[in-house]
Amino acid sequence: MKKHRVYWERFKRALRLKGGEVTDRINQKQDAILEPEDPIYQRKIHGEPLPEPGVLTRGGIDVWFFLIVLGLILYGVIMAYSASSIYAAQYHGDSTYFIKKHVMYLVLAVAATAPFVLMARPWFWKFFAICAYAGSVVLLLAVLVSGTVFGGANRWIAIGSITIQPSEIAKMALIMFLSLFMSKYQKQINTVQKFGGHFTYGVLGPVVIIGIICGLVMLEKHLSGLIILGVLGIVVMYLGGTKLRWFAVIGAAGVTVVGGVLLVSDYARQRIDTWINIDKVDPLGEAWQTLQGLYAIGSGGFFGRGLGMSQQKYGYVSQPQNDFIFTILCEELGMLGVLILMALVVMLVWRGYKIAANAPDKFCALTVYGLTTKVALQTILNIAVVTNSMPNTGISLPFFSSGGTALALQIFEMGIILSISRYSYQKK
Amino acid sequence: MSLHTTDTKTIKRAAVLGFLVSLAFALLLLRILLLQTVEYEKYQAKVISQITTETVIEADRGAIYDANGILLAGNVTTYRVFIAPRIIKQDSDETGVDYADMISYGLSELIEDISYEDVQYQTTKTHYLDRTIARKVTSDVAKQIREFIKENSLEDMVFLEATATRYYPYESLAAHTIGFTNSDGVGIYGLEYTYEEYLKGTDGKYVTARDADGNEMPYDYESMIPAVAGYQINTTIDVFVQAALDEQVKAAYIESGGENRACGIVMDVNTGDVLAISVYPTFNLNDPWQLNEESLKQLEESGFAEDSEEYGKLSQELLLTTWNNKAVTEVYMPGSTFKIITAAMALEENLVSLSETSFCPGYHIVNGHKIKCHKVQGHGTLTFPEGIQQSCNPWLMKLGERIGTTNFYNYFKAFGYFEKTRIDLPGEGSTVEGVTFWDKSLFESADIYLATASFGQNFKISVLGHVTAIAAVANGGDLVTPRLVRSITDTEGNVIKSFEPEIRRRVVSEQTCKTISQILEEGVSGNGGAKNAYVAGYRVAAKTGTSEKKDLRDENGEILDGKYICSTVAYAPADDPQYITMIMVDQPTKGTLYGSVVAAPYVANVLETILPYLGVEAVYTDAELEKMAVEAPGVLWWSVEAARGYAESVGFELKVVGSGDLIYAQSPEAGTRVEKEGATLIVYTDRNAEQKTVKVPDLSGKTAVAASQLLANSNLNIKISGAYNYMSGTASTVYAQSIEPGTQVTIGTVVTVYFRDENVADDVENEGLPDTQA
Repeated sequence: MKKHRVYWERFKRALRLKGGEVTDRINQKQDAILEPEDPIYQRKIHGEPLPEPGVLTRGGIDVWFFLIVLGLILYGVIMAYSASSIYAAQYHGDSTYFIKKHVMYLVLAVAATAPFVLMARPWFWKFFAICAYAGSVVLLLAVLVSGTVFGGANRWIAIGSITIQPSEIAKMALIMFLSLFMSKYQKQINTVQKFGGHFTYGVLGPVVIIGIICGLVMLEKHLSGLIILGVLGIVVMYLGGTKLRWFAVIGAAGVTVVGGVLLVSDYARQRIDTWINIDKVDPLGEAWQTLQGLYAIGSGGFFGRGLGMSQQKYGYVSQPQNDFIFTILCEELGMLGVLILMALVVMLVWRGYKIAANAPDKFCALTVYGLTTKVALQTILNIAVVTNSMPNTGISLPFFSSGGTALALQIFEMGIILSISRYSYQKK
Repeated sequence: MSLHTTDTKTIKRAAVLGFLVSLAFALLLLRILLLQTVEYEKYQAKVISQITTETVIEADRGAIYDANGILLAGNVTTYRVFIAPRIIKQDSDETGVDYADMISYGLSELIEDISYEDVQYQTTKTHYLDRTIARKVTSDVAKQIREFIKENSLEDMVFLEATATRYYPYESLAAHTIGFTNSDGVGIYGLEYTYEEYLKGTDGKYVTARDADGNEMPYDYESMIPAVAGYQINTTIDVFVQAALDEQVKAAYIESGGENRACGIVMDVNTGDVLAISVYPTFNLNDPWQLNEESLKQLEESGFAEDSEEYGKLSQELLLTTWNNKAVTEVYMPGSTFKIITAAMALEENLVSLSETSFCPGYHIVNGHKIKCHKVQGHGTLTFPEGIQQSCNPWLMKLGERIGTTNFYNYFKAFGYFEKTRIDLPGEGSTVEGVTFWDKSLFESADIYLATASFGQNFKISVLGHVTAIAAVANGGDLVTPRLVRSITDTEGNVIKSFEPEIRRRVVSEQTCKTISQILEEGVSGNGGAKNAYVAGYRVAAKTGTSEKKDLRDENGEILDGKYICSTVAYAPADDPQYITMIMVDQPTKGTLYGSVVAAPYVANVLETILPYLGVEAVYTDAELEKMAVEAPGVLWWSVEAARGYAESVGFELKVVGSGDLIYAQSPEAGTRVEKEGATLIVYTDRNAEQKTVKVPDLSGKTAVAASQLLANSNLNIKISGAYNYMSGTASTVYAQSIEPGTQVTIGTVVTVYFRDENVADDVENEGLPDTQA
């Protein structure tokens, strides 16, 4: 064996943390009861090897996924610092103001997430899914009742100096609860009988679950949240096995809802108008942010200006550490920076999907699919917004946009995936 | 087939999802690629235009120097004071200190003409970061403001910005020659205008990038192109000569009650170097847009309301008139001073001899027109030189007849009257055929035109052109180009361009010139019309002139009578002419309206002042020496007896006040020059004796003898200035005295008395002249 190969194996072993090892017998007994779908326990109960023993095995956390997430986090820290330093220095008198916050949230989030990664078992996440969903509904209601006024809409809850956006929690909660629902009723959903319950469990149930959350978010007039929640809901339904024809119906309903929103909301219509007529509207008005973002991407050129050399971050791209951080990334790092970012996200999706494909049960699979897709979806929407490929709506770039509870939550979601990856089967 | 725990259907669907995600990324990648490549230049340009600001670094304007390197026009640093109302408000809100009040109070105290309210008003503009409080603040005041800022820690609220402002140390001196710049620093007048290209230098620039709030930010292409200072102009103007001429032109104008300004020129006859050009009333170069007192008075008298259109129009007109360089841009009827030229023509063509005589009956008939001499009763029989000296019009008409129209016209042209002298000043005027001189064919068609032209009437020339033509007569016949600029140098003194004296052509012979100079000099030292131009110690050649303005119309279009132009031109020394000077007063109103009275004494004063300064040595005749002033001896602490002997030996009569033996005080002081006649030295022998005072008597109109007697009676000493033959009879009278009548002075004080001959036979060409103006 080559020397570097040895080191690699050692490193991988080091990351295969305890708890995932088959030797943990006491817990296994509990798990066998709590997780009847896990092939390992199924084999014990039914005595038939399913799948073939010795072919699949369970390990520690998925190293690849961990490294990709680590890469994204580091890349995010670098860019968040570069993008925010000037703005921070000017408005807070300290160029490290935002990056400090960013890193602080990262550290806290990692510290809070680590125990879950190390200790949580799949059954815990099922329990967690129910709590999260219920909690989200309560928080969304609370926001509606007494949200702090922020950004023209009531979307935030303040606990001390920390502000929480319930819709962010709701996204995770929706994915997990819907996954739980669809995995629990997967037999009914996958039935071939005409009245085997496909509609009830494959369509109606999920729609109600999605509908409750979406309805509350709609009342917040939080369009971007609504879109992401809707899409994620549909993604989980799709993966959960809902028959394709129902998506046509859901799609029609979605178009109707969006159309309705546009009819009712002048705000949303104006956004659309600005999007289409970006070159004609007042460059100092509505379109300022979008235009300055485009200036940043365009003026950086193919090769970029070099890390830290952005000109647009000097007050032109307003709040460059937030939603428009991608434009500063483009300006400074050019196509290479974009490719690295996209590659990391695509790799994340590939690895996440792989974990899901080998998940111990359907709930874990759907949860990992959903949470992974969420990262991709938010990245796509964010880039679409800042490149003016779609109307401007506040969508942050996962791992990059300056820290806060959203970043912490993002880390936590990655923690869930990593936690599940420990129970995910790997080829021996 | 790989192994999975998840069902195949889900994995397939996940693959579709993965494909969609990849597709989305691919599309976005394409979009970004397009932005980065196809639209790169567009966005790059937009970013550059929005972040860069070009700051112009103004080049220092070149300085203008006089002939001796004295600064005439330079730059001085002044400051713009501005405040940042936005910061003032922020800081006030944060600290609770009323900075607006503090700043308003402080700045209004320090800066003149800025009131508390002015500053207070600007502090209310709280959106702005730069509101100007005052411009052109001097460095002294700026220093005080800087201290004020420091004391109160207002560094981010009150600012000073240095700028270069054109500064003319001598204010109104040579104002019309030097000229001035507009508020952008571009020369719009005088030499400042003519040499704008050399003076302005090349502005540099500094490209900086600014963030969205206007603060400087780092920038790759930051660049600086340094400014190149303008070149220096070294003129021929001499500050001393200019000041002397200014003073005399002003005196001539004020004492004669001039209505339409006065002007004068001093020029080197050989090189054409212009040492001074004066116009009065003048203006302050440091504030050229401010109307002078005369104009303000006129404006007040006009009766227009201050905000009326007429008022504005009039003040504009008055300003333009004030700026007008009368000696260069305007043309006038020369009158008798032109006789020098006519005489030169006749002599050059050998049409007259010095001994030839002619009888003046008081008129001359040309083509049936009876044209009068200014001396209506006639001069009687005069030789040619006497005819010139007495300025006899019939003599000149006869000369004109001999010269002939074509010849006269050609000489007129040769003397350069039809062309511009090409002096370095804008808007030069010259005689224009068919407008200010007869059309050639018209001129040749009738003798009457030549007759009037021969004594300088009915055509117009510029003062500068005339001086240049007479300078040709003075220097031996060469028509020079007046030169105002000797050289242009860069800031290190390297010559960029130098201007050599230029002779345009030879007009008349040296012999002719010598003869003319001699005739003119005799007119001054003898009993000619120009004797008021006499300067002791110098052979002055001079000719006076008075012409009636026949082209003035009143409001109804009627010819305005009784408006004259009085002038005198003189050059010295007559035997080797060096400098020429001329003074002209337009529309004098007070006293005798003759050039010999209005202008000649002042010309004499100019020459008296500048000739010694310019190194032309005085050569006194015996008669002059006899009358020359003596110097008071210093006898302090001398015994009375010794002092008396010494004082008498140097021509002073000693008068003793007190009874002591030692002299404690004397008047006049040692070294003071007084007239030899009646020179008195008063000495005091009592230590504490009060010096006796006496009232200065009014001497105006007194003859030299009477004035001398009057002063002697008051125990005052006399010093005489003016006409040479002041002692010879009653003709010369006092027109000014150095100490105002009625002033109390200590006895023995010297009173300088200025004489002029009021009864000079002069030459007013006003009577019975046919209107021959083309």
